Amino acid sequence: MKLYEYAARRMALLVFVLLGVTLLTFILSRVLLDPLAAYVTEKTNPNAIPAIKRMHGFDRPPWEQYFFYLRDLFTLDLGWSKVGHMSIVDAIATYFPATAELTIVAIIITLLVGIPLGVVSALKNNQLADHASRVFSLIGISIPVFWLGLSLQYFFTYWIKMAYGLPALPSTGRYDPVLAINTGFKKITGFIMLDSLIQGNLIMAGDALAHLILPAITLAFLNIGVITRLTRSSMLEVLRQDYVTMAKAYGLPQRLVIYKYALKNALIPVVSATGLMFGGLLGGAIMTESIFAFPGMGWLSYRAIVYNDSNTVLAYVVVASIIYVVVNLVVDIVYAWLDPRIKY
Amino acid sequence: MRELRIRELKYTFHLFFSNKLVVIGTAIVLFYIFLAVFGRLIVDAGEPYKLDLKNALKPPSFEHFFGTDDLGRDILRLIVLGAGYDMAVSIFVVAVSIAIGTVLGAVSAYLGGKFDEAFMRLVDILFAFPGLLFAMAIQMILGKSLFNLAIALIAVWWAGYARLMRGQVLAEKGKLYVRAAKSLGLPGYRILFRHILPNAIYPLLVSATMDIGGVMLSAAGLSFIGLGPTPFEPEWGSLVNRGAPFLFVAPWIMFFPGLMILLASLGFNLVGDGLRDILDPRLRR
Repeated sequence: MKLYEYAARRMALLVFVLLGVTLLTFILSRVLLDPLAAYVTEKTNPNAIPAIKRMHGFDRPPWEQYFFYLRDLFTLDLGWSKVGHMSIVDAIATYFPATAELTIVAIIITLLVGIPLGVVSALKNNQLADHASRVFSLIGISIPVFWLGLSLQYFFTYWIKMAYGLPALPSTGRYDPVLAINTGFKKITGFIMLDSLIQGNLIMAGDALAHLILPAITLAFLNIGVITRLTRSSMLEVLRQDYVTMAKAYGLPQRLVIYKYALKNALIPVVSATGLMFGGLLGGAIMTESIFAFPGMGWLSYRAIVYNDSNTVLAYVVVASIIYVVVNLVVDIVYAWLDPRIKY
Repeated sequence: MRELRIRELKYTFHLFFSNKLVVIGTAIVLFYIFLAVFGRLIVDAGEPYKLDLKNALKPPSFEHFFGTDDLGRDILRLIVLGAGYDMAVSIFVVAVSIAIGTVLGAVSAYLGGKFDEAFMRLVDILFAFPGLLFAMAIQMILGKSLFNLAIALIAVWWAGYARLMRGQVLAEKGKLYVRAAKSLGLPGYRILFRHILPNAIYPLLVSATMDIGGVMLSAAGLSFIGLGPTPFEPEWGSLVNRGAPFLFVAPWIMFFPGLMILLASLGFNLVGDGLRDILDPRLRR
């Protein structure tokens, strides 16, 4: 099978998976949970409820509603988000950049810490450095995210200021709104870092980074453990191979063998794992974003499910799944292209 | 043959005890099981109902080693009483998920064809679905309780085992012993469950030990966001939730229960990680 045939086959399957996701979400949020809750509050006149039901088609049979839902999906007319106080499409446009920004910073931290730790661990196999980095990565995958988030929040936004008088990091939100007004900051793309750099507003960029750093570390912690373990095992595998022994036998310098010949091949699985991580995180980190009141997709969806806002839940799940599935597909194709030995 | 087995077993024990991390992990897990089983004998089980508002939000002291919460309850005692919840939930979730995943994955791989194709698409859908949100939605539908929390987690976790098991069975299916069994005219279910399964299930069991740690984090996480037991069941995630509003006033309320979750999960992960090394035939000798 050629690469493009493989890609085409995968895309055809992707359509089925996405249809399945919409069906499953539909059943969960429109049939098993009450869809009316998205439009009704305690102040709604009870006499108006049948009219509201009719208006949104909730009195139709479920399969009809599902087709309406699919039609709305294709025309991007997804209705009103109760928790976002705006239309769903606007809500996604508002909240998604925050999540994307957080994800990018978290992935950068993960790779900057995880890959070197994994390489050191593999080179010093079964020595002290290896054990230390293995324990560290095991702690990384054992730590409860919510607890890590709260602890970081306590130590870096309160304790260092109280105990040592050091400047504290901001505990919640994406940026300081007062600072934004004072420095004349304007939103362009919705990516605060990018926007402030475009406007040459370095104060604002620093503020946005200060808001990002704690949630990003919280998110990165678990993935650092995963990347370290993966890099270690992959590096060990590669170092055992003949071509590395051969390069050493040629008398090539150790550094050249490790960093040019071995590491490049060892990083192939890391690239694909990073891609998947990226897909997962772009969907929004529900717990981390909630703890730091970071207004991204995860925060929105958490509120949506607590307030039974089925429109927002539906939209969120569909967006998160599309991102996940598409990233997954791209990663697999890139993987097959990077490593010609892979059969598909 | 018997002697060989004993020697093999002795060697395994030797590997086990020479791996310090596994020994530490086992010690943590045993301590945790001890707390879960005998906690109610050491500490008065009525502690969650004992309100002592005069002593609310007291920092750690000799009287209250881990301090008190907003209702004046001793955190250490609550932690001891709450030791069983997360472990019971995670072991239950992993066990049921493995049972479901193994059977469905194995049957799917063995039958192959259209059925297998359709089944794998179902698993793909579950993978593409944001897991935490799925578990939350199920909890919203079924109602909040510890048992429903377990059901929600099972609904998310079984698919991973099904995928793993399917791959295992596919790899075993073409081997000589399977063809031999077929040529003897054994029925399919017997070949699958008596001959293929024992050979294929082994990686699942190793990954299960580590998954207990992971499920524990998910269970505690769900109950942290309020989708778990009642306030009078001192499950550790819900204790962290209880402490969150008092983060800057009384950080010890959320700190110690969270630390316990970390330790318990670390214990299972250490054991699972070490078992992988000890039992891996490629790394032996």
